[in-house]
Amino acid sequence: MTRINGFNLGVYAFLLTIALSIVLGATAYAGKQQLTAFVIGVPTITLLVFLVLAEVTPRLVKLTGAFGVSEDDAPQAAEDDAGASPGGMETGSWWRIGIVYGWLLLYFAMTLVFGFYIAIPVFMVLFLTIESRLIPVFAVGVMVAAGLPLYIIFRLVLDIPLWPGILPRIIPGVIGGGIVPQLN
Amino acid sequence: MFEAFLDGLAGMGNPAVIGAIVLGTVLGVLFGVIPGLGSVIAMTLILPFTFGWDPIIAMYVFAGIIGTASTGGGVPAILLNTPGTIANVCTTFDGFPMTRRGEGGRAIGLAATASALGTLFSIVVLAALLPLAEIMLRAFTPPDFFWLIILGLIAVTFASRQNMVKGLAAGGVGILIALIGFSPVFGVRRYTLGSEYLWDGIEIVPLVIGFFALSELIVYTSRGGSIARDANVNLGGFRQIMRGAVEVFQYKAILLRGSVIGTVIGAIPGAGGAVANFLSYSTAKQASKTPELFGTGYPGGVVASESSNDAKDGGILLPTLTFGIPGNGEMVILMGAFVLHGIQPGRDLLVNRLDIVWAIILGVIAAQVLTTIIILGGGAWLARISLVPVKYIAPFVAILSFIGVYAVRSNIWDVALAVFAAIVGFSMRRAGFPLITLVIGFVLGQLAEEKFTQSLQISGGGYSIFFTRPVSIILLLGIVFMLGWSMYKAAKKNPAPQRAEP
Repeated sequence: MTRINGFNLGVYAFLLTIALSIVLGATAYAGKQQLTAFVIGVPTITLLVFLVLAEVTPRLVKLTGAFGVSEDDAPQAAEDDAGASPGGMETGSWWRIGIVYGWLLLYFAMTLVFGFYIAIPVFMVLFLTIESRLIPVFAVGVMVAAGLPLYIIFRLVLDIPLWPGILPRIIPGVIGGGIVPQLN
Repeated sequence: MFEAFLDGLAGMGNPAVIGAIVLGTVLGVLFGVIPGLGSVIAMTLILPFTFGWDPIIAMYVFAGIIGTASTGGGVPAILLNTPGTIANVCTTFDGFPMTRRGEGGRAIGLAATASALGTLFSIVVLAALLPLAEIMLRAFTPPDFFWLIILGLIAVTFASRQNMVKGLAAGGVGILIALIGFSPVFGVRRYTLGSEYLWDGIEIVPLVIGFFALSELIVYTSRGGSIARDANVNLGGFRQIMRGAVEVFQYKAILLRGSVIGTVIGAIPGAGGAVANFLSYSTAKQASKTPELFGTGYPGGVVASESSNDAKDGGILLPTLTFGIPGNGEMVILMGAFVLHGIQPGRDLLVNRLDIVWAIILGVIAAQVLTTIIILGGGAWLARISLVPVKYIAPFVAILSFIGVYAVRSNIWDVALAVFAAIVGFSMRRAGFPLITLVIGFVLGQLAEEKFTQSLQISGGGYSIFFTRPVSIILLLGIVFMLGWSMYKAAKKNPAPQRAEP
């Protein structure tokens, strides 16, 4: 029994979906408008299908070897713990990766709802306390020491408008009342 | 060209230009000395904030970062045995043994001066070659440019020794997603799936912030801890630093060889500073009458390493400025900056926007001089910054990334796109896909379509135009050679790979 690297397969499938949607979508356009999508898309899809087949068909590994798909990419490279990847990337465990990405999602959700003015200090204190293991008082100190220059540089000097959040307006122009742009 | 140079030189007295160079230099040095960060993240984070700035000022900031990160990376390599960037690996071989002997200051002096001279050499070569490149560009027609873009994608994968199939597939996906949104060639919106958000296509800033800054954040935060190890940072006094700075000239041959190797390797898309670094070091060792001294704290080893990794700066700018083919991550972000500021690399840049070209060239030189002063004066202090654990840096990278992405268009969904791109970028890297080819494809995608369509308009719809022009044939031969050589090498390396049975 050969173990298939499900993670790699998932990535190939995702990229294949993007490429297929654009190439199939191109058929809706007339003449030259669809040409580039076909000229670039068809070889791209071929390469991705090739990778998928190499992943699920052991005999193809020999063939793919001639195209630079090394043994590092073979299914046995799949690890329960993320560790080093075929790309030579050293990461933590999948659990740690999930937690870190969870922090990013949490920060985005806080920003979307409460806006930058609330999300930044809350995220900073939470992250420094829970993830970086700083004592809360110190985390608040770091937040103030770093947050103040950030506010001065971005808001007062560069005059960058910051998202106020989708809450009903609480402090006009600062917190709440953001108009969410059209997504579809 | 000379007038533009003089104008650029005169403009350097402008306080905004001075501020931009200082900002770029400080960012470059800080991100260079902290292992795991580097110039690409520094450039990615500053990219959105430059939107709306005078393009010249923005270019000085980017030039400051380009010219300094690998110089800064030499400091922890010497004092802590931890290279700040991958291009400083060989510096540890002799730099750290010197520190252990109590000669850290001497090694810092050697490294800073060798870096400055290497950069200066490569920038002079770049300035000398630009007029020739402009003449060469006149021979290029639309089909040639189309093949050049394809060749650039293949060259980056080929030279970086990444998996060819995955590199090309990523490049193809990059070009395809560049087609989403409004097409200036046809004046229509395509592949938007009915979403208003996609009308203008996928924005470059959220994509590169997600791919480079946030995905890297996932990598180093999930790994945890400080990359650099604590050590007794012994510089041995300012006199020792100056002794090293002057001593570089005793290693003229190594310095010149390293500078030439760095410049030439830098000009090859995908090869980059790490290849130049190893090649220069091994060549210096082979050519030496005392090769046994290399790796024992030999000053020539530090000179070989540091001169080459900084000399790549001039080389790598050549294909980016002349042909719009970015050879590494730094150049991809620089191309992103060009897109953001409406600058078109190639003939337009070399003829009509020489002020931009000279801003980059002069910015790299000025930043290098400033970095040398900073490192000679504060090497030990910089080494201590390397000890800051990345878990303290991560929230600041996330905050700057989010503000930066939002600042460009004031669209909160751009931040969502960056968060999505972070996990896509991380997953692709984890699966062995080189992200750089995807971003190069994305940056050059619309240009590829424009040149492809123009070619067909010239030929009246015939495809033979892609295979009959002399320059196109040369480029095609280059593509065939790279693909063939890659297959030959891979087949030789893996004659009959066996799969392990659990």
